[in-house]
Amino acid sequence: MKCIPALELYLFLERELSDRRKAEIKTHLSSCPKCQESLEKRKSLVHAMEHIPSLQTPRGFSKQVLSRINPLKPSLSECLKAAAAAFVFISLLGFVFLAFSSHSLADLIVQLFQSIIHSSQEALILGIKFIKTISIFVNAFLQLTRLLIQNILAVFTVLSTEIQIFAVLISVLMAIGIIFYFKQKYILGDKG
Amino acid sequence: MNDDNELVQQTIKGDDRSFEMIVKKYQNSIINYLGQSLRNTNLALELSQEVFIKVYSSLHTFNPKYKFKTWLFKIASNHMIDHWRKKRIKTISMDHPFKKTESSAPIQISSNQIPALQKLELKELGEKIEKALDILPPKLRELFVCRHINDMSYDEIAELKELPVGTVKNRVFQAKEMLKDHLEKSI
Repeated sequence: MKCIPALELYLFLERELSDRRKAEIKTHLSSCPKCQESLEKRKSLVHAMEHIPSLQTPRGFSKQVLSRINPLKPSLSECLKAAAAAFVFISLLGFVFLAFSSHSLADLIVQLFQSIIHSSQEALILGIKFIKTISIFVNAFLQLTRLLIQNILAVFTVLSTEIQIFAVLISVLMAIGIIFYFKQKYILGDKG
Repeated sequence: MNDDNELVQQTIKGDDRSFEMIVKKYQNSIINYLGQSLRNTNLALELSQEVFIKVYSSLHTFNPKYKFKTWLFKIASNHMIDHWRKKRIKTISMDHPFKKTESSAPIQISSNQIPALQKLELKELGEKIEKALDILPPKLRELFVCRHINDMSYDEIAELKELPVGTVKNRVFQAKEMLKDHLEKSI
């Protein structure tokens, strides 16, 4: 029998080998001084590895971790992303309806800009305190949204039934797409 | 359902005490894994906290079909790799066979070196091994720490690092031989 490789001697010392292989090695060791010496060289190391000092966990470690953890709720950035996505969705919806609308694009854009300028003015006047500024932006956003919806509804009423059905279908498909995206990203999580 | 999976489910339902139990159960293993692999206790404490925070926020993605411990160590391992990447710590390539340096080449030990090794108390030798971990390349050290400090099986390490079991055994062996040679030289 050939001499035992050092790797296998470690596995022998760590009891990682099958009973059959262990028996073979024991037989070989009994008649091979070279392998016996090789085994002895590694025995102390293997035994000492069980005595490697471990690092001590500081007291209160788990409390520190818990204090840094937020409850399982969306973070601010996730809320902002959701708000941005909602804005994009509503805007897209508006453009879809606009495509079938008798209103001119220029009118709507002017209205939008007027609304934005008006909202910005309000925000600048009332935005001395940070929290108030935030609330004004939210209000401005809601106003824009309402304006868009009002325009959409106004356009919707003058459309033919076929176009109305088509527009509703497009909207539903887009809504499903967005819901699916958020479900993948935030509910099921990123598996990558 | 095992204990870990039950604790995970309770945490997802909003029971933070269950998560505290998870942290308490694994904090020592994770701190030692990161601390000994990175050779920096303070950094390990900071990264360990980050690992548990990451685990908490990803619990809903945990698949109960798999072992929680392996999943947890996978997150810790990835977090450490991210840290290495950020710090651009030089690591030896694992794609090529380990190059035996003069110090790691098999050496013929004179007969008087062996008794000297044996004379050392195991505890003292354990401390020397701990200090000698510095000489190991980071990737070999990580596998050695998994095996001999975290007491993980070769199969568990292979699953964690997504390596063949034979490769893991071979790399842990390389680490041990390097430590042996270093200790023999220093005695």
